Amino acid sequence: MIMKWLSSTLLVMISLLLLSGCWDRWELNELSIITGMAIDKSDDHYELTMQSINPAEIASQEIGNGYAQAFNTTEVAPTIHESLRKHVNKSPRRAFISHLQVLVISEEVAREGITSILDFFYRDHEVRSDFFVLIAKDDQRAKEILSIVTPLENVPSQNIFDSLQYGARSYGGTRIVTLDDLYQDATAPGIEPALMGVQVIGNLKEGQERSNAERNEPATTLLIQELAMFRDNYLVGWLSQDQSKGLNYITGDIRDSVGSFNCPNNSDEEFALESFKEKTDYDVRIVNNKPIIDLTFNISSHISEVNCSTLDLSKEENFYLVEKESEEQFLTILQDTVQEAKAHQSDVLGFGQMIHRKHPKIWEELKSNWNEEFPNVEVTYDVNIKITDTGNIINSFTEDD
Amino acid sequence: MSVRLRRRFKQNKQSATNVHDHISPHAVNNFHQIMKRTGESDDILHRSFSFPTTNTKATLIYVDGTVDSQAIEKILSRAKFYSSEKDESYLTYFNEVGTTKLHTSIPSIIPELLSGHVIIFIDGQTDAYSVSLIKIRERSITEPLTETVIRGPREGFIESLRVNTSLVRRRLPDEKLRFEPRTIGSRTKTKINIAYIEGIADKSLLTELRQRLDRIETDSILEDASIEELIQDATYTPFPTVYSSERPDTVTSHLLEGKTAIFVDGTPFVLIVPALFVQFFHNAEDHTQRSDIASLVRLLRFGAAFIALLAPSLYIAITTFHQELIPTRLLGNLAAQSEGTPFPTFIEAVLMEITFEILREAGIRMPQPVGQAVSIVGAIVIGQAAVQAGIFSAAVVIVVSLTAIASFVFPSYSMASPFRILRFGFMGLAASFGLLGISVGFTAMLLHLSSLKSFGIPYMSDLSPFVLSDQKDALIRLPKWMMKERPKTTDHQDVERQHTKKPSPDR
Repeated sequence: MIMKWLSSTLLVMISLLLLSGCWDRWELNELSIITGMAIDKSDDHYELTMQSINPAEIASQEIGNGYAQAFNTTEVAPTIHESLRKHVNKSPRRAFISHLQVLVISEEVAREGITSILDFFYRDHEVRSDFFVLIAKDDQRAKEILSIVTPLENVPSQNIFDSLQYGARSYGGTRIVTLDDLYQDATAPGIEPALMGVQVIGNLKEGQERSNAERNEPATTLLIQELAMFRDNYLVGWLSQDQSKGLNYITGDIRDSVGSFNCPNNSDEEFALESFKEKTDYDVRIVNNKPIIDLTFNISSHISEVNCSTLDLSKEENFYLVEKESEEQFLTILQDTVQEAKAHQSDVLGFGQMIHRKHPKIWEELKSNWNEEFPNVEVTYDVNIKITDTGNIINSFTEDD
Repeated sequence: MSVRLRRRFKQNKQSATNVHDHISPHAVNNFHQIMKRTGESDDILHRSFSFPTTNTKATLIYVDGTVDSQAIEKILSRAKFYSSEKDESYLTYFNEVGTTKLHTSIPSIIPELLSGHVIIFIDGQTDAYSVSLIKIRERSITEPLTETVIRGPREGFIESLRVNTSLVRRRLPDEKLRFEPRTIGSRTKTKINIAYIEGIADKSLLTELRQRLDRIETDSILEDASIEELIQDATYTPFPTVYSSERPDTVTSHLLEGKTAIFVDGTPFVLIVPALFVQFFHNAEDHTQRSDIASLVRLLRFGAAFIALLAPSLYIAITTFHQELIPTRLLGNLAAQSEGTPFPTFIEAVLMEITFEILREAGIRMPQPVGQAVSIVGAIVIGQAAVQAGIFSAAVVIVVSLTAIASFVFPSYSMASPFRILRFGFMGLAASFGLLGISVGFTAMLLHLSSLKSFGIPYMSDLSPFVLSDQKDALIRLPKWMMKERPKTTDHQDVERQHTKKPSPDR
């Protein structure tokens, strides 16, 4: 009895193991780990460039042969998924995109709309939605961005990924937009996506050589700055570096940033503030059936550099002077940012969402015509910068010291 | 052959044996009779002597090496001072040397003789005296090899039942401590003691245990493992449902928690029932170290158990099915290591595990305890060479070594074995179905564990069914003064353990 039971169970177990085969098993050395993708336009089709890493060259052990760390292939096919699978025509391994870190879209493609591109990335089960999406600025081809041999991190996709990640933590001029964020901003009413721009600085040909990473001063580097603004998922314009920062302040996405301001009393000299605590509040008032947005900024910062010859920081009243001066200059950046967004009718600031949350009924009226209404929204600013300390020293050393 | 004839033959034979069963008034004849029965065994010796005052001859028979030879000399040398006039019977005379019994037939003498008694025949008497002078050379009490502690008693059980019970009695001089004798094995006649504390131990459990022991019909019990296999609840399980310990302090503490111990003569291991799953992760050290570190170490052991069970299968599942779970840089490193390795990860891991199991078995059978160290070193050296030769990837060697080290953390060797066996099953599941297979396998294992019982007590007790008050000494160990009550799973009678208040200075 027991033997019969045992043998039948064993039979089932063994056939379970053997008959199932190995399902969707892929050994690590059968996979090509894609870390970067670029989308360009080629006649009617999209041209997809995939950057896979060469693990032996990446690994910390000395097992590599000194070959290139990354391997780019370009495919043209009517759909992105097909071009992805066609990758194996040029590479001995299957493309594996769960570890995708950056997706670079050329400006040309973005101006014609990003909706059709993103469908695959939302739909496919293998894609993780935490990679960054960037726009190759101006006439730069997106595939060229991934072709540069960058110093420190030799693989450009990794370089861009790290640069964005740490930039957001220490400077605030960059904006992290993952596929998830992009999906929300692109589909939600009352907000438009803003994507980081990236471009090649220097000679492209030299940048593609390995010697580029062997020099102290690389001939070619990648520059990540400025934000692309969208309207109805079409690229319509760019925000400058300062405006990008302003956007991050307005949306409350700043963690730690440094800004330079003109000295009080002397606009030829500058001082720097490092802000470490930033809180943005908004309120929406309805006056004459029109929404007015009140933005309040509470920023704690400390003075991190002083080049002002006449500023005596040992006196309390001068702190107020510095605060006032920086508040005024900060205000112009904010106004400039809003102005630029309004000029392109692109609500990257999310004003529509603010109205939606505070006054849903008013939003129902504005919603259908929001792109036209957005530039008419009035905005008031209340900037409070609080200076907490002056660093390790109080006053700069002066020449007669 | 007719029935009558056969009956007569049988009668003849019976009367013949009856004649030889009787004790002859000639002492020497009895010796020859015994020698005939035992096949002239070399170890059976006899000494003839006489009582000078009465001029009576006597013969003394014993098994060499099992009796106290000094006591024999004492019997012989004092015989010349013996006088029957002083109203002294032979019985009182022998009683002064050792516990003496009177026998009237030879078959009843033989077992006594063979278990270390001295048999004395006196001319003219048809009965014999057996004097208990058992003295078997035994190992001295040493530190137990399997359950070592840094702080705590260093005594371990030895092969003698009496010494072992005395070690417990010394720790527990309580009138309620009972040692209930049993003899099991028609040939080995192994002595067994059931130890329990009257009033704490569960009576129904005791009845059950007695029944199970009485059910054993075998010719030999050589050590505790035979008893364990013959009385355990479930046979078709890799998990042990009887706990065994080499430490008197461990046994004592279990007795105090209402459990029952089985002492078996001839082995330094004492069985404890009922055994719970968590108990196999406990160690005497847990109670000699401070409760905070003891709790952390216990949690570490449970963690190590998971590693020992699942590390290779998780590695296989994640690297061949769920690569998206690995951080990108780590994946790069792992992929770099698997460049050029010819086998699938599953084959690599299985080969490596089998290699390790071989080295481990070899290490245990090596003459010295260093064998184990040798086997670990061997595994690492072989692993290193295999990686350099490009046969295995380095990550597999790391995972297998980690698994091996984790499997040495088990305080109880018998609990390490099921994890060793199941590990391979999980690896197969992982290679076929990925994490899905592992989770199904793990669920099945949990179901099986929950269905197990040890002497009527659910094996996963304390955890499932969950007993909150017993958590004080299950996954963690709280300070002693918090354990006011005995565990509820094993004790229902005298629950209160202590009234000690939280220690603090008097004010």
